[in-house]
Amino acid sequence: MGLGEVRLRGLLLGGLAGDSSAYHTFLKELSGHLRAFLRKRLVNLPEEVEDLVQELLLAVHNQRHTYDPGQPITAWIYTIACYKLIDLLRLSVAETARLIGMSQSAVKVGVHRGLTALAAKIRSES
Amino acid sequence: VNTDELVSLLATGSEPVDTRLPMRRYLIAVVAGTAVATLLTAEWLGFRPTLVRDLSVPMFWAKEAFCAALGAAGLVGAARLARPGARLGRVLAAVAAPLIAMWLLAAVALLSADPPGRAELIFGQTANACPLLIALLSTPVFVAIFWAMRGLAPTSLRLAGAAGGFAAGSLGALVYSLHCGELAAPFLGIWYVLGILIPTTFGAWAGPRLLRW
Repeated sequence: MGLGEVRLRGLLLGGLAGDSSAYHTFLKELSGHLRAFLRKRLVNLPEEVEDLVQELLLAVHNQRHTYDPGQPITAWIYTIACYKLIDLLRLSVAETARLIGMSQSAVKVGVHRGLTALAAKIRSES
Repeated sequence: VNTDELVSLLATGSEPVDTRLPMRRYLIAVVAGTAVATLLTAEWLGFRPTLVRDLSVPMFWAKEAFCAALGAAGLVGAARLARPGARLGRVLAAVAAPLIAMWLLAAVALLSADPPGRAELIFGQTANACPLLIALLSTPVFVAIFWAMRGLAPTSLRLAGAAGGFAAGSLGALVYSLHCGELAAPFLGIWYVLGILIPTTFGAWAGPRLLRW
């Protein structure tokens, strides 16, 4: 567990206890992590990045009651982000393939690589 | 809405969140589902007349422990699979241990029995009805567990559904044992396990449909 892990966890636990300024900082730092990653991966779709960041923020917010304080926070965030991204991208693989001129299976491979890299990034930054 | 606005929107007026609430809900659901299954057994099948006498039979307790251990492992598994990023850890070993123990007991019983008596050990009197009745009795527990899991956020939907079904099936078997008088290990190792596998399979099918969020 790196510093980021400890810091994010403290902020989220503060937020869950009702400290809205800790929670604000948590969401802000989380959106930074998510944005940096998505930007790097979706070079061809810069306009999608902010929408996805917001979708993932909402997902984490809506599921914040499922965080078990005994659990690494990065694993929790990563799993929610993967689930939500896959869910969103599954719906739009066909559309995405058309947009960026790749085959559907290439898009799926890209999604998989992106998610793996997201995991690595969240872990290395924390 | 830009992201900073969204963050402020989500953070302002955020109420304290009780992270223990989902688990409490889960426990209440399990107790309620099991209670309904017990009532169903009492009203519809009846507790077996030898129940009190059986309390002094070791195999009766082995049977109860078998169902309870599978149920406990299933419940822990379902609870973990309902939280994003939680690990299963030793849950699979906890599922395997009672199964292996029961199958070993069954093997010993079959090997030490006279060949003509083996069919009786395997089929007992009620092999036809047993798996289906276990599956039926597990229904209220199944509904309760799925309701509780929907309050959390499972991400491996098929596996989470199977674990929920497995827990429901094991608790259904535990309740069914109040009616069923079969005590032979081969019978339990086959028909009880089949009965548990019915809701497990159904759970694996239902997970991706009912547990999405």
